[in-house]
Amino acid sequence: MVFSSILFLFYFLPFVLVLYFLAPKRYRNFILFISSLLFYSWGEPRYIWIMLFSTVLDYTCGRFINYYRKIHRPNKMRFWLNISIFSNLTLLSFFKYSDFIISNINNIWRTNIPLLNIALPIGISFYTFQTMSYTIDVYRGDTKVQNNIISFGTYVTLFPQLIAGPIVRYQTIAEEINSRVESYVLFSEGIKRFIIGLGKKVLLANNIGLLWKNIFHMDVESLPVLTAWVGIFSFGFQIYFDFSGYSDMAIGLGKIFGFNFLENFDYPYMSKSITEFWRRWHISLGTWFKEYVYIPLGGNRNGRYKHLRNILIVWILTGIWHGASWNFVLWGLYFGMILIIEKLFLLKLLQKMPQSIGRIYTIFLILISWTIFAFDNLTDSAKYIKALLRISKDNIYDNRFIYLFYTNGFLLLILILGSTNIPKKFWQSIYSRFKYKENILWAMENIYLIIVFLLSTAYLVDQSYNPFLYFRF
Amino acid sequence: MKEKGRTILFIILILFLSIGNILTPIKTFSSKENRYLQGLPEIKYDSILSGRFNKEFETFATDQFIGRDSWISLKTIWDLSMLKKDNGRVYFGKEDFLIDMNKEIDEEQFTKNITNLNIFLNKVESLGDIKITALLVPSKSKALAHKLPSYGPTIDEGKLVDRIKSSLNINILDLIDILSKKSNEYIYYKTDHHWTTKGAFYAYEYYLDKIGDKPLKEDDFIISKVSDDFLGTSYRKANLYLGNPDKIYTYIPKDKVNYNLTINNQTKTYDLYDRSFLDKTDKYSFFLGGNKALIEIDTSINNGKTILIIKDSFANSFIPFLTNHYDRLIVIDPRYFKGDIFGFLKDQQVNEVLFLFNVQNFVQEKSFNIFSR
Repeated sequence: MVFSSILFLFYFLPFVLVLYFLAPKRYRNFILFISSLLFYSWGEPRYIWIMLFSTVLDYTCGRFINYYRKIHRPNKMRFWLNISIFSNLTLLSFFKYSDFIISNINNIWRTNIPLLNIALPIGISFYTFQTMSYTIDVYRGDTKVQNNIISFGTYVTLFPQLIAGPIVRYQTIAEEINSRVESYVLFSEGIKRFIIGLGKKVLLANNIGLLWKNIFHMDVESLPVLTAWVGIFSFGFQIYFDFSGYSDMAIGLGKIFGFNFLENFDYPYMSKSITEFWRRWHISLGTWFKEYVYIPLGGNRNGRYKHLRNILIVWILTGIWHGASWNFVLWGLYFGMILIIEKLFLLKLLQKMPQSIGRIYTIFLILISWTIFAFDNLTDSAKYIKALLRISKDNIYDNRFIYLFYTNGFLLLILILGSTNIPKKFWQSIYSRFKYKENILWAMENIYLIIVFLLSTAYLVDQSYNPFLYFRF
Repeated sequence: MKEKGRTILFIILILFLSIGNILTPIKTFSSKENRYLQGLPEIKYDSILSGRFNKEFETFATDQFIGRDSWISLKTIWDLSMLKKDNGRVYFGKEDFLIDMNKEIDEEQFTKNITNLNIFLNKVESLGDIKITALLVPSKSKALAHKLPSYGPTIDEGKLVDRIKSSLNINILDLIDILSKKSNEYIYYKTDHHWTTKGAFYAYEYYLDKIGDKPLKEDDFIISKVSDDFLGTSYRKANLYLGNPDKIYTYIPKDKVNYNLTINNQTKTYDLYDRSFLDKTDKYSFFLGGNKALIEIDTSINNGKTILIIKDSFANSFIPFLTNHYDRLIVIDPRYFKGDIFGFLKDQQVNEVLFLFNVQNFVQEKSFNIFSR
């Protein structure tokens, strides 16, 4: 199930909300657990076993690690930690990377091993990372062990963050799993956050996605330069508003049920360097790799050579985490290289220059990275990059560009503004200036949220609009 | 306090819509979309496991959403106020014209159609003295190009016609110029992709002129309005339309001609128009009762001339004009006709063959392999 659907908004969510808030506190985890399983199994009933297996396994490992800590047997502790990490990585590799590995073997040794054609279980990249964070943290003593399997299951399967993150580390919500306080303040914040996320996804990301799809299908060899640029900007906006919208919805839902997840995005397109970009983009993933890969490898402490090696390892892994295909490896490597160059000297240079230079430099490199991300083979990315740079007098724009530009111009403007913190700052300044009219402002905010909610609903209902035209011309 | 207000406000909003959904009766048919809506799927063990139940339930939830049509209109209103000029299916053109967006030309299909047609034409030519003409109708997006939103991209049908002309060795008449010149008259419906009877009349005039016959003049017809609430296919694709519905006219010749129609070898009727469709969604089927595999029309014009018309739906409002000039008209729609067209033609002593198609349809229609059989 996805949040941006009629099914979720008007069937699943009201049902769970009513059940959850009518039930006494001690049953609430259980209700969340069961409804999360329902949420997950809706699309893919068979794969629920993998998630349950993962839950039981990591619960067990967590308890063993804790037990052997108490009786001071560090070897056994490490053994159970390794069981957990090994199993999670095996699950993830088997379901996500088998066919990628097989097709590469076939390519290199000219063998003919048949592909397994396994459908990727939804959210497996997210929940395996979450459960690993739990066992590792228990091992390190960074968090307390969870003895109640329902509570642990609630953490693993928690539907707000289950299928597309953010990657919530167990320590972040360890307290709230056991004793959280739902409140009107949190609920109302959650509603706001959820609706803003819904609007980002349904009204903005999906719409600009149509433009990208349109340009994506054009003949890249004859693509006018400006069309190519609008195309890759569209993709950049689509992926940001889609993903950050989803994170907003997750964080909002979390608040409604009394959880405080950490932020996952912080206006990444305002960054003045790639280093900064990755501190603002998909923060939970960056944190995970830093905590559980980069620092354990030694981080920056063992000399320059090892430092650079660690950066490259982390970024190849980050790339391949996004998808089982070479373009994602290259995408990760691309960022790894830029980050190394920035660490070596560029960052210092950029800081001396005007901010606008840094911003343009960053956006340019990000957009180029999206061309690697968007096409699953490198020839197509190369062709697209060529189209971006193919400036000649008669190939700047065409009539189609004018049409696409003016019919999407308003949307693009909203997206540009929406990628910055300008709207937020503006609203905050209004709030502080008209403090004495707080009620009116509050009412305006609610009206805004209602409009976004109703428009999003209209878009979702329209998705099934499917006129049957009874004759083929 | 404020927070409590917002919480309650939104809980009420969601519950209102969600309970409203459960309480409103299930609709089976959407006349706006002209399709059956998804009903409540049966709960069965294996359909749940295979995911079919889930999929159907999701469609059910959306199809049966309370006030569905109004939500869909709201979406379109929002799109238009965001300066959008199309919804991926139609352009919202000038003066309330809804204009279908063109699909990309499939070159492979183009080549296939030309090959199949050439096989057929060679066979027909071997029969000797048969006049073969193709009358190609431009799409609304071409003939009414100035009604499109500014710079709206379309397929260049002029180029397409040139390519057809250079690859088929028959008399090809394209109506692009004729109809473009009349583009300020009511020659295409605003809410449907077809031409009006008037548009068909201009095509008829042009065609007879070109084959050396004498067309009737507009004055020779009694022109009467048979419907003023026609909302066509483009309307359905648009889902929001603020203009007036279209009108349907008939052109009945003052000098009455008698005819009888044999449809698919059996049904005998005496009318070129099927009035029952005027009360239905699909009002264009008023002409000839819609698309039929085979229609044979015998008229009281005893001039011994027989014409075979191979056509798409544009011909349906055009053919009534031809009944004033031929003894016998045979109308074949290759999309529905399953027999051997050439064999049929041989048996029938045909003097003329007319292909009447929309330009794009002529090269993209998938049923033309029937010609090479």
